[in-house]
Amino acid sequence: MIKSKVIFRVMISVLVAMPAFAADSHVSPIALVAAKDGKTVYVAGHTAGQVAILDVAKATTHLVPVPGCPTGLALANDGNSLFVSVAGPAGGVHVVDLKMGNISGSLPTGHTPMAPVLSPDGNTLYVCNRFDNDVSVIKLKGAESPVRIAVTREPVAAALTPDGKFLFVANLLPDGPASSAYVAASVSVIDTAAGQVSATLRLPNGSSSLRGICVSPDGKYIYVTHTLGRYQIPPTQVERGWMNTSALTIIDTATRKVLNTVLLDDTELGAANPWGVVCTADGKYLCVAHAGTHELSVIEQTAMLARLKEAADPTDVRNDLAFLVGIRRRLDLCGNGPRGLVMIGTTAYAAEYFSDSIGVLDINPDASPEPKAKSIPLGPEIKDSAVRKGERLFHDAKLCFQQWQSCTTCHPDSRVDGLNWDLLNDGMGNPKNTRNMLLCFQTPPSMSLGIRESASAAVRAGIQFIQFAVRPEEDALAIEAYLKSMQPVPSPHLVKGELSDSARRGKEVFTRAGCTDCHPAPLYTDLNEYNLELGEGQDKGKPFDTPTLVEIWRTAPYLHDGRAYDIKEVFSRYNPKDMHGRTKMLSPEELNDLIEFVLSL
Amino acid sequence: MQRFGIIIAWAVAVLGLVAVPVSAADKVAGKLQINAWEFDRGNARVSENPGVYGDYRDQHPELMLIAGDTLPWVAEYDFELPVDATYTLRVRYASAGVYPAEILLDNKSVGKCCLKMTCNAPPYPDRHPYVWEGLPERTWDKHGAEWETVGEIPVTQGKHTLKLTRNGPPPNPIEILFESPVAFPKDWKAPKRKLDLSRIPVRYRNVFLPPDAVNTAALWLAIEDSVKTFGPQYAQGPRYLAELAGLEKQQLQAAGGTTDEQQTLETALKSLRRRAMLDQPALKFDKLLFVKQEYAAASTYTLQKIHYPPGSRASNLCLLSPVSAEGKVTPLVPELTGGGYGRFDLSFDATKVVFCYDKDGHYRIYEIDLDPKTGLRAGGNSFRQLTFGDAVEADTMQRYAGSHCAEGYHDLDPVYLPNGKIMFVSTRSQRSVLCNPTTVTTLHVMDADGKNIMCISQGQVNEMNPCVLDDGRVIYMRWEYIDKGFGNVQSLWAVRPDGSGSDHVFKNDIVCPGAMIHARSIPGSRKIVTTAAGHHGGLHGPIVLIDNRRQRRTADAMENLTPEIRYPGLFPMPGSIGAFREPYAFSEKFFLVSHQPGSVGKTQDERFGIYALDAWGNREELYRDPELSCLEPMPLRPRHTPTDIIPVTPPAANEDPKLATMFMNDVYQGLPGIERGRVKYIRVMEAMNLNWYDTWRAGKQQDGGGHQQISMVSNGGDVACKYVHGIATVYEDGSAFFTVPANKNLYFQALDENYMELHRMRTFLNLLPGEKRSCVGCHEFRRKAPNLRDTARPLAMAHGPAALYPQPGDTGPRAVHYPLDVQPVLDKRCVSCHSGAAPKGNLVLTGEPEGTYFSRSYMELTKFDELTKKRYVSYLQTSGFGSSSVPLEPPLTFGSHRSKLVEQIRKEPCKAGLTQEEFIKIVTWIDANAPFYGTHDGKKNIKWKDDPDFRPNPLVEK
Repeated sequence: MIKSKVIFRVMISVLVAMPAFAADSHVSPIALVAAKDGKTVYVAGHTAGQVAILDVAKATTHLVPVPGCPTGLALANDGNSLFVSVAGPAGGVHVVDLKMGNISGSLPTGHTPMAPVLSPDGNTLYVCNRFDNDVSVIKLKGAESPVRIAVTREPVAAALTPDGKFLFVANLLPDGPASSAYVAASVSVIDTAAGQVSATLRLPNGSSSLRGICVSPDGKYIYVTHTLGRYQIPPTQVERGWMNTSALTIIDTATRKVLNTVLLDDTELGAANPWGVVCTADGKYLCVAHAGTHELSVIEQTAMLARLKEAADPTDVRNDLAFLVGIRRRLDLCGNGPRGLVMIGTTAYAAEYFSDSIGVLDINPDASPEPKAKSIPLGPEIKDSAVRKGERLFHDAKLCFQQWQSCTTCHPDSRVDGLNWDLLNDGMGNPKNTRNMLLCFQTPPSMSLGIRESASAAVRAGIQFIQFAVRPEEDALAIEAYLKSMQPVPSPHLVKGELSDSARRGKEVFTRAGCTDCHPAPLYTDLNEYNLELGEGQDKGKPFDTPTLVEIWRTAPYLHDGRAYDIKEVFSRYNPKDMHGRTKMLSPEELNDLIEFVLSL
Repeated sequence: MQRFGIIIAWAVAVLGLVAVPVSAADKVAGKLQINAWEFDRGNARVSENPGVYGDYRDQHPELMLIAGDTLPWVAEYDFELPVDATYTLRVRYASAGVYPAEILLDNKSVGKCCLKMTCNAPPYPDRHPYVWEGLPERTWDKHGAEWETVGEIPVTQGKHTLKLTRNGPPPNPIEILFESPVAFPKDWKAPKRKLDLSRIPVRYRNVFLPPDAVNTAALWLAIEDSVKTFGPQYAQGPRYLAELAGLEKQQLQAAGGTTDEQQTLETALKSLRRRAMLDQPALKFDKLLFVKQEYAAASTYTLQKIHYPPGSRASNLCLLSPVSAEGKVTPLVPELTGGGYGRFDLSFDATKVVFCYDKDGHYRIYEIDLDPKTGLRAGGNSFRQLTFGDAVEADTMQRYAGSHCAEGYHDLDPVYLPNGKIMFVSTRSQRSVLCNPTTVTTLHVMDADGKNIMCISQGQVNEMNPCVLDDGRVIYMRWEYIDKGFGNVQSLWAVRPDGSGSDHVFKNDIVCPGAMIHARSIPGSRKIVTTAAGHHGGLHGPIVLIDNRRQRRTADAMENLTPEIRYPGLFPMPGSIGAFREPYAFSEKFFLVSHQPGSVGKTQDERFGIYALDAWGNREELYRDPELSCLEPMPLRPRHTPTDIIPVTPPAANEDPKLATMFMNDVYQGLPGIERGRVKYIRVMEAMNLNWYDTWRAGKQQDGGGHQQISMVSNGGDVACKYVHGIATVYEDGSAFFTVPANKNLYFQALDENYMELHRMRTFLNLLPGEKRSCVGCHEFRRKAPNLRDTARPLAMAHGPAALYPQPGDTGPRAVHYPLDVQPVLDKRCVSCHSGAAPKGNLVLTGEPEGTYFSRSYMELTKFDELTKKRYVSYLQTSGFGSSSVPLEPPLTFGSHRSKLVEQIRKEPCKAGLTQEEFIKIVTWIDANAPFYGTHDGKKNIKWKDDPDFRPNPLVEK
């Protein structure tokens, strides 16, 4: 069906790199797509290397193996082929021939492609390349090479207007220095005809972890799910959305402007980690999956839009925890960690990541008897290993007092949310940038000021002082096991897994500039604390923990308070006395090489 | 006895107020009264929330009219008058806005009615802020609906039609009254207005039906909902519906039938209701705990000991199994048969029960072990007493002999906490009610074995009925009154298990009901179920659902599940119409309750049984004891253990062990009408408690009584002494960050540049040592998350946490004490003009004693001038009994900005002589609600004037 030579070559390389999965591996459904006739739901099984095909009527599934870890799905207009994006530096989108049940071809993408979206005419496939911070535009007919359009940071979800003119891309994380007054992730609007970003819509201050995006059936509104972190104030409490709130931002398609942001929590009960979002075809209901609280929000779309219009103070809507009272129902699912969501009629299908199942629930309030949620297992039940249990708990807001947040709310994918938080462990009024959990057990102490002697202590302190809960020790042990199991994602700056020429030169500079003194391989930290005269206010004169540089390419912004937008700022603007590496003497080329090396770690 | 004397005196005063209508009453020779909800035609609807506008003064049904879907809004009444006369037409209404309605007699306009907003309808902040000038000082004190005279209208004898209409939102008319100066014929009686049930919301039809009659529409909805909710689990549902349809049809046909036929039909309906309700899937469990006990109607404001009088013959904590009328009842505590059982709680794993019991005049806490399989006592040493008296208790009993403080300790209302400890209420904190000679129970916590008892609340007055919510906090009834009326502020609050994070849940700004008790979580719901009780007497009333997600300041969040019982206010509900208590929720729609369908507690035969109750008001008896009341039904089965919330970390060794930290994000959130930049400081105030010693001594010295003050403090202002802890800076962006003393009843005042109060928090907050808490703003709506600035972090964060500092003229924390703060200023600056034979402005400001407790100047400044309807200083009169001054008031409603005295001293000639420090002393005193005494020390009554201990100044706290 797809005959490009380029594509064929990529397919071969992906197949060669295909990892072997044990038969008893978890499925971890992450995304779904429904056939137009509503008879079939396709499910991306992230950790199983499989696509599950669910027969809706019979509630049975069969599995099609795909090479790699599926991240997203799109269905061809004729319903005969399925586009499956798979994670990894080489990425790629496999084309599954649904009639034959095999892979008929593969398409090249960037690093960790996600959320494939097909144009209405079926000729163009858009794919978010999460770690390349761009979107691939792949023409499915002809030999035209894919075009890459840069967006802001970690695009993870996308929605196309029904006329195919604008692609709205949700960027997971804020970009820019965390110490500025307004820190928020954005939605990039791609004008598909022009092939470029026509607008970058910054969401309200504190927006991070954008996960889901959809367009209303009439094409008038774009809905984006995300976390709204109240990061400016000290986390003395979680009640009433004091730390993290869960939000839905509404974008007006016609003007391509943010209309407003509403909260999905209740006054005394959070609805953490909103993920998938979808409308019923008739536009009556808008449905959100809450990955942290294992439930669905069902919102009456028209009523919500009417309330927005009538709001006395539109700028205050994003603070109103009661905005949706009366027009939103919260419906529990049976499974754990719902992420992707599709709707067939009024029946929602949710990818329950941690319970390896598809949650099914008819959201029609008039149905009688009242529908109960059920879960269709995607494979034999597998007992959680400590690592898997830890990962589940890390993502579970039910641990938290009033369910406001899970560990992952500030540490999406166990990394960073790009925000500065003013935790009480080192006083109030001295916010610090969220840190990566990778290697945290090998790189004690924890926290920028080394307040916690070890990651073990930090995990337990996090449960106590951020989730405000006393939990059994076994929970902390499981979370430890999970964090210890984390593996670095290869840097997008590597070329075929190797350092680029520039990075290779930069490696020399790294030694010459004295970086290795404190950041020696393999951890790229000597585990010591140094006063580089970077502390301000209460932290003036204090030494800071030397962080690892592994995966530093994905943990911007930099320095303890995220003041440095990029690595270049670390070496230049914020290194005036040459204390943080001897970088003054470096030529611009050498500096670039050094940065390239650091970003390759 | 003193208490009852006071009640009678008040009741007389109150009834005087209630006598309606006010003017020309003596000229009225005949009258026709029409309830507004009894209209014959129109598109109006009966309010679904009756009772919320009224307080104890309203003796009338309060169903009101609310907007129909179409305009104009219309309600028409057919009526007949017996004589020709010029009638005075009056309308009684409660209206939250100005919604004048046209009033037409036989289609001819006779004028407008409901011309203003009644002060009783305060959905703040929609309420228009009223101005001080031109209004009697105690305007906010009125909460009843108001009468209004439409005019004098000649009406002929015979039939007429009256029409109320408005092309817009309607007012809430309650009654229409035709008063005639001509006598009505002696045998004339207004014909009974026909009742059209169809326009009354289904649940409210119980109000108009005979007691225990089957409300067929309500039963229909309940069965239909169960069929929808439970499907096959409620398999008989469709059959019940068919049966009900048949009976309803017969009911229509039998409307004119014989009494016997109607009786048979009613019996059949009752049988159906019984089967349909007791067939609920929720009731499919086999073990129920309850307390078998003589019931006594006690009060929410007295020591709880008298809630559970000893002496019941066979009282016990009992097991009912299977759960049915024929189930077997087993007393679980044979060790303690008879006597006073209080509240109990079941451990989360259903293996232990903790309860309170009065053995020798002291309630103590006991625990038994259960076998969850049989529900019976587990073997071995399964009975334990957890709390005991001690030497301190014995000492107090001896020391305070003869006073109400001599009862020793009572430990009541124990509940298991998710952390394994037990919370309860106790008089061990040795506090007394400020307005009544009774002792106070406050929240305490102890270890599972009864060790390490700690008081975790500084509450002024009684706290009771703690219950663990689904989220791990503990909900309880907290009575309090900081510059508020004394009764009717028995609200629901929640704390974390260690006493931190105390937070208002519901009712603090709502007059009616007077108290909310027995509150519980509802599984799978954010709503709370509670019993609405009166302040005086009766731990029972209607069952109320509260949905406070949207609104905590108005009664809109309340839903009366048993609306035939109106919300009791200051007084208990009438004793003859049945009562409910102690709801246990299976869902938002189905409950177990203690219920007595007839009159309560008047004779031995009147006792509570265990009933099923649903959201439509249907109820059905599940179990009844032939001799005693059955209280506190609770299924015996394991429950989900809620979140074990982390306790506050105590201050570290290098931190002050007596301090807590407060952060205010933006003071302007919730200060309508106060422009940004105007708030400069927060003044941290304390309302001090009254302890047993002070009460005992005040009693001995007769240093109280007036204005209901057990120990005299003020001329009708607050009954608690006030203490200024200092001020904190509010930055330009409204943020503030400061430390405060822990374990005090703190409240805050927003001050302007002159240290004058802009707004006052009329409730209090406790913080534990080391606790760090934050506020969104001042009086912001509780539905709000903290707002984020788009320009910068809160400015105060860069500066704090800062210690409180004294205002100019103060050297440190101090009590507010008029003789020390204000009189010296007056002596120095004012007395030269304001004394002698011809004092300026006819105002004398000298400090010699006057009356029994106060001084000349204090009385002159605080007394109410009937002529001008003003006082020199504006303060909130709290002794106006019961329901007065409960709702939240907008900023600048009272206090220094509304005081004539301040107006005077801010202009010449008085201004010139006054220093800033002196000015601040005066306004601080006014904004503390104008107390006279800042201490309970010494002897206050003028009869002790020659005693060396006569009216000493307060000691400065070190």
